[in-house]
Amino acid sequence: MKKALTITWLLLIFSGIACIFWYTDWKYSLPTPVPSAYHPVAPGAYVDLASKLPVARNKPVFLHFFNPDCPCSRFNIPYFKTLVRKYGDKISFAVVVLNNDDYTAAQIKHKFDLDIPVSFDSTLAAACGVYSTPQAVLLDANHRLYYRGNYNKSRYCTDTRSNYAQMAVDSLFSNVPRPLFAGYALKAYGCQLPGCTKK
Amino acid sequence: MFSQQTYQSLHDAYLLQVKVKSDRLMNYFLAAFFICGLLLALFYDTWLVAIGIGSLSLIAYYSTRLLLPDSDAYQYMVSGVFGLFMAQFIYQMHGLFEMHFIAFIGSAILITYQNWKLQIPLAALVIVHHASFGYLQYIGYDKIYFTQLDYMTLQTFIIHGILATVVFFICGLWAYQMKLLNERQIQQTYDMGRYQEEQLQRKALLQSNEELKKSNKELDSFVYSVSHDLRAPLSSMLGVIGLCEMREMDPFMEKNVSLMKSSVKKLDGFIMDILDYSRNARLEMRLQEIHFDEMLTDIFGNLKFMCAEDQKKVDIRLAVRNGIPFYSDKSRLSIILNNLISNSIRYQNPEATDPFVEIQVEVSETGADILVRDNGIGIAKENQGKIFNMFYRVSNRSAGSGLGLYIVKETVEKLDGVIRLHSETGKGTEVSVRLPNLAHSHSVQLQSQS
Repeated sequence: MKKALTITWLLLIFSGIACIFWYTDWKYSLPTPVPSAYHPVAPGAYVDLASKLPVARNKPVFLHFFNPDCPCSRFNIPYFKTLVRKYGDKISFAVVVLNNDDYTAAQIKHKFDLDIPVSFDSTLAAACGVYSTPQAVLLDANHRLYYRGNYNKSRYCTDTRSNYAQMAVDSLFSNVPRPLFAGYALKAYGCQLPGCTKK
Repeated sequence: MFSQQTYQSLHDAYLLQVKVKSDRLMNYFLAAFFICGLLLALFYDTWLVAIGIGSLSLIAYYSTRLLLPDSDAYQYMVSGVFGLFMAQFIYQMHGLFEMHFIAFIGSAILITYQNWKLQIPLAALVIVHHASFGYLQYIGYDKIYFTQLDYMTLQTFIIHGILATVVFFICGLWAYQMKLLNERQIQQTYDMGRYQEEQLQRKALLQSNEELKKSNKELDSFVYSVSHDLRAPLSSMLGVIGLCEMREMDPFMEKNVSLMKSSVKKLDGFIMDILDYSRNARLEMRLQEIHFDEMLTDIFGNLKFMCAEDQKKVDIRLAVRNGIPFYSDKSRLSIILNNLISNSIRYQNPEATDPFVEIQVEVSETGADILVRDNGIGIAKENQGKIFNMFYRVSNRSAGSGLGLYIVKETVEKLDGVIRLHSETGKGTEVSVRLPNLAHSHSVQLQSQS
């Protein structure tokens, strides 16, 4: 009797454990909710960076939308660094911090261990149509929107077949028509932006 | 202490000690694992997983321990809980490969229980977890994030699996070896305890033996002095009787004096027997060369007045072959021969026409075979077994004290010899004595004296 009771009790606990794993994973798999005041920005739209970021003209720009408090953003740091190492000479990389707290540019640079421009201008997100972190925005040499979306289908950027941001960079330099990305690339996954949390 | 403590109780006490100690350790380790989960939550805000799964795992363990305290199910549960913590940490760190090592930490911790089987739930959980999730990721299932490694091919996975199995196997092996070693140690402790106890018993035995020897010796000395002192007045009495006999007496007096003389002689003989016994027990061996001819002549010389007047003349037949020097204790040998020959003479068959006593002695380098044979009344079969017992007499009419053959047996044994008796009622008795030649001991004795 006692044995049966124990087994039932343990089964209950294990179901609870399975539920927590499943629930957390399910939550992760959901796309970031689209803010009510969101205005989509179509590819090819011009993004004016002039007064907002000290980046070179006539050179493609890669904007990394980053929130130090967002776990997904934090997890994405090493992958972003590999992109900078790989394409740093051809593209101007910059980090756009979307956070309400008082982070300094030096702190952000220290986190990435990179000397690239850092902006705290949240209007850049609206200008590029970004509403989550981490998000990649690639502007061509004329600063027109070439790609805005996720880095990878996989949260861990381990799926080389879905390195969307990198694929966009590669396609930009190979002078081929802009590829059509699947839903996983363009539907934003990750943390909501501060100030527009609608959980 | 050890007499009440069996090996099993020692073993059980040890197992309990291991259990209590390991259970206490588990409290610390599980707390550490839970705290680790909380710390890992800081990285990617996985608080729900850290608190939810961590707490449920701890509840699963402690409730099993509480509900089934007498079974070791909770130990298997802790093994499973380690597996769960591994899965939790992997999840919290989004497949950080190093988190897989948590399984090995759990495996190493489990050694403390000294039960290799405890590795099974952990190993099973790790294998099932890794195999299913690894496979799902390998085939490209979208929702699975098992490892950050992008090179986790089937081959890599199999190698990892084999290595992990080896770690579990070795941890299980150490647990088993530890158990064996400890069991051996328990056995040794037990044996040592037994040995100490036996030593104590032996010491006590030796002590009581010494005391016994001492009191025996005192008793022997007492018997000797008493017997010795008793003989003096008896000798005086015999002397007085002798004086009386030299005078003319009326038949009544003559008869009573004769009765008195016989009683005094009987008493003297009895005391002599006691003295012989006492000497045999008390005195050290004094080895010297034995000349059987002389010794037997002396004995017969002493015994010639033994025969009652109405008895027939006993034919004495001697056959001594002693070309080789024979060494033994002369006084003890004399006691043996005296008793055997006097018995043969005393218990003659009145119906025999030619009563005889035959003594054969054959000496060799190893020993002497002495045979005393007669055609006397013999001893009934049923009495033969008891004939060498102390104070045993075949019938109340027996003339002796019941000590003679007992003394013979004791003395033969003292000389490391063997005695055998063969007898038939009405036909006669044959006693054979085998005594070792103590020539070698004699030379050793001489050397030690010089």
